[in-house]
Amino acid sequence: MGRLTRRDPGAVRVATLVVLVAACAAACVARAPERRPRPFDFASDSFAFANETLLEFHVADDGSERWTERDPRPAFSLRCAPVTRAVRQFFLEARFAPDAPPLDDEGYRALARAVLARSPRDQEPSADPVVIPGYPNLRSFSAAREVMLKQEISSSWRIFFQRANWRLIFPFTPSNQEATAEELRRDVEAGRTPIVRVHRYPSFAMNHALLLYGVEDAPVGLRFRAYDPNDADAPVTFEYDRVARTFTFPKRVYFGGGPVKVYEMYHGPFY
Amino acid sequence: MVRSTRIVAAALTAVVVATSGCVTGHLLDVGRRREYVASVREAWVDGDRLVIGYDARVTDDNGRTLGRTPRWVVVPLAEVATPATMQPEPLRSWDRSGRPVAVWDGTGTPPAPPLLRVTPTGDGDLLLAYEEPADPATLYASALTQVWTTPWVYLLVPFTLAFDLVTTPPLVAMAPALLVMGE
Repeated sequence: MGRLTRRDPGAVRVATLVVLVAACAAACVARAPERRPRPFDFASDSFAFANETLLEFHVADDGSERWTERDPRPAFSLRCAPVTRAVRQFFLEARFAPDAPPLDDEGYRALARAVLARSPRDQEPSADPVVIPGYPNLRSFSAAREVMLKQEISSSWRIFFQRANWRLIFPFTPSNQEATAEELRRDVEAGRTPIVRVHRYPSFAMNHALLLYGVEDAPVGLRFRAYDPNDADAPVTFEYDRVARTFTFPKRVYFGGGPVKVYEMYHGPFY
Repeated sequence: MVRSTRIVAAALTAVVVATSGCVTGHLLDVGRRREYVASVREAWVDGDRLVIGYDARVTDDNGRTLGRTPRWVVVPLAEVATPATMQPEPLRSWDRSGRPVAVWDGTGTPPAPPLLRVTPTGDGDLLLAYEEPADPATLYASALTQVWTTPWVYLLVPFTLAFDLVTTPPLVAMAPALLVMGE
């Protein structure tokens, strides 16, 4: 090797490069094949409780719109992103074993904590899921353990600093929204469950998080089906209009309906 | 000197926080307009083109209605049935040449073809069906939506760009803290 270095340092560099490329190729080949998640089922894969909104939207008879503060103030609110994130973590990182013997409160708390400690940016089902005994799915688990799960979801101060917030300060042009819609369509069709922020920044009339799990063609665009953390009873559908090049969100108890901006969060190192 | 530097830094921080990010982007958002077909007034067939006169609902980027305006659009008849790839061409006005087409909203007795049947879809859209004696072709009115930006916005862009050159770097400098702290 020493002779080689003395005689031809370039050859050593080439040899090193070849070794590195070969190692990378081997790593790629050795990487586990992509695990496609089973289809997300709203009735069993979502929480039995909802994130409650602080404000309520009203439309008067004359068509005017106004907001009112809820009284009493809901105890579990301003958690749309953590709740959405937690739903995906349970979907990808947990496996329910209804026939296994149940645990006590602290045992379930430890399991929930273990699920929520996994990376919220994982996009594929875990090869080593946290096994939750005694319940068939997240819906029944969260119905029985609502208080504990709400505590665990809210336990970290970091939930108020979502990493993707930085993106809000830059423009969301129609062409950006077009690219976003197509990317989300591809992700959902590939079986992934992207989490998106739906907003009207700098207006705070809308600032919400959703988990997408269905998409179909609409007459002039796309129609997405999503888990809405503010609604435990039914999914929400919203559209992307290819001509207007904008997403349109329907009227909800917390939003008057109309165009919104969308981007994906909880994916990659910067979001 | 140190004090004045601190004052400038504090003022800059306050401005950065108050402006909510890229001012040029927000300005372009403010100036963006969308025109949706609100109702169809009249239609004409001119050779191989269908000319539709309609009232457009003009909205801002957040969907707030700003007013209504009369519009014309030309659609090649061959493309009427394929709204996804249709290339409607806006017209400033139309001299009403060609063959008039009856516009029918489905109430009363249908006029004789050719007619343009206008039906609400229930989703806030209108379904337009151009009916010759055979093979009606349909399109969704949302395929005729127009997007444009008010011209006065561009007069302000040089100023907002200059402003962004000063205020955006501090925002970018703050971003790593969010990436580290953020969930």
